[in-house]
Amino acid sequence: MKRIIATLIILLSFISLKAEDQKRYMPDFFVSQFAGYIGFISGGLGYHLSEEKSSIEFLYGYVPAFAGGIEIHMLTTRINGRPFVYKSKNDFYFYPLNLAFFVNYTHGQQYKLKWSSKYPKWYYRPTALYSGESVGMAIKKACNERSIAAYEIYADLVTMSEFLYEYSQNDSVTFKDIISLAFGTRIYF
Amino acid sequence: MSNLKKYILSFFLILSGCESDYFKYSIHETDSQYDGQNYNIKNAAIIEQSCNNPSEDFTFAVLTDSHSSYDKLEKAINIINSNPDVKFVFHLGDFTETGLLFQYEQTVKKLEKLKIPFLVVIGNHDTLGNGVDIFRNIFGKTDFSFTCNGVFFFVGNNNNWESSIGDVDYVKEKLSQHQSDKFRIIVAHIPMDDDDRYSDEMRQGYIKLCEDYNVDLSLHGHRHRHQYNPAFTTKTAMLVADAIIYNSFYLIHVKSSSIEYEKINF
Repeated sequence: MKRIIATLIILLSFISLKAEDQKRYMPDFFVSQFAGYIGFISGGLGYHLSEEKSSIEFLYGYVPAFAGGIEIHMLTTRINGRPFVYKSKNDFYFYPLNLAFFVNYTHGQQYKLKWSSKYPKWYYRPTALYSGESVGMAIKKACNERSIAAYEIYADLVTMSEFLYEYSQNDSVTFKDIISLAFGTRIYF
Repeated sequence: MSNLKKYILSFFLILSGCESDYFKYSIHETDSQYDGQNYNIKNAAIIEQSCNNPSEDFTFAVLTDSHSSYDKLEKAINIINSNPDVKFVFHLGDFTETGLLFQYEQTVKKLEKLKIPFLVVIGNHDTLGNGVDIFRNIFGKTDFSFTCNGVFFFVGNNNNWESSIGDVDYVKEKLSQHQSDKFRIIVAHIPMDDDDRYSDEMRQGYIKLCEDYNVDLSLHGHRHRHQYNPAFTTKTAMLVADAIIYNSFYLIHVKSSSIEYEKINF
């Protein structure tokens, strides 16, 4: 019930914004992804931070039990940086390097944001929050459709900071052990 | 077909051709390549079958608290593999940092290099997140018992802050069935004299249990420092093993009338 009320309040406050402000808060693109530690499938909204160079994304990810052994719901905030772009004649844009950093929250009683007072301070880290990094590339195609400005497919190599640390500490941990492939699409408005 | 549809179709065609091994969906996944191995149950049965001569002395190795030091764990395993006298190995728990599947699998990958059977105790760090489920999927039970050359071992989960712990009556019942054995050893991750975790009543209850059921050795990890108390109770010695992260493990020599430990530094 609380969630429904919170969603309604957010929706109402958005509707009550002036048209100019509404435009400002409208997302610049929609993103969806397969795998990469942020869900079996994940989807969300994104905003440009600086035109074409960086963006911030908010995604909801879901892992069904058949894929992960247990059903998992998670929220991810991701910041992308893409320093280079090559434009072809036929409206294709190639981004050879897409770097991202993300923070991931997993919902569930067994994942803790804060530990109870019986545990000494810093006894455990918060197990509901983990961060990760990715490196990848993307191809974007500009289009002339009225509601869609461009669409894009991308591929990333993703790892989690925890795994990267353990990789750096142990020769026996291989690069393959800590990496996940991810594929996704972005649709720009 | 529009260009957009073509892109989406080719995207899913690429996905379907890729090996699932390269795709990970969450740090909290529980599906493991080692699921169903039941190492604890399987290896306890192997030990019972091959060690059934109560008059024979034997040696087992004890490792603990490797956390995410997989290389150090592997180093200790290589040393153990070169010692033909060791019958089996105990890992006393905390072989992960936060109970993640990745950390479980890295540890199992190393333990599988052992040429002798291994048994694994669940530590408090191993219970975090979905750790208990992952443990059960890979190792089988957290609480189990077995006998080796007339020595009874009871292994239990005593991580009372993080998970539900075993039934004391079950421990008593098991111990009562093995009073005629040469020795009785209780193995659990956290030392039972921990006054932060266990109330005075719990600690006194454990001491009474050790005395009532003639427990000879109470074997633990967790503290990351060596402690040996030969008179934990009037009948029981307590050994708290130092962590692998400090480059040490133990050999426990079970002789006809005594249990002796040897600390190996590497």
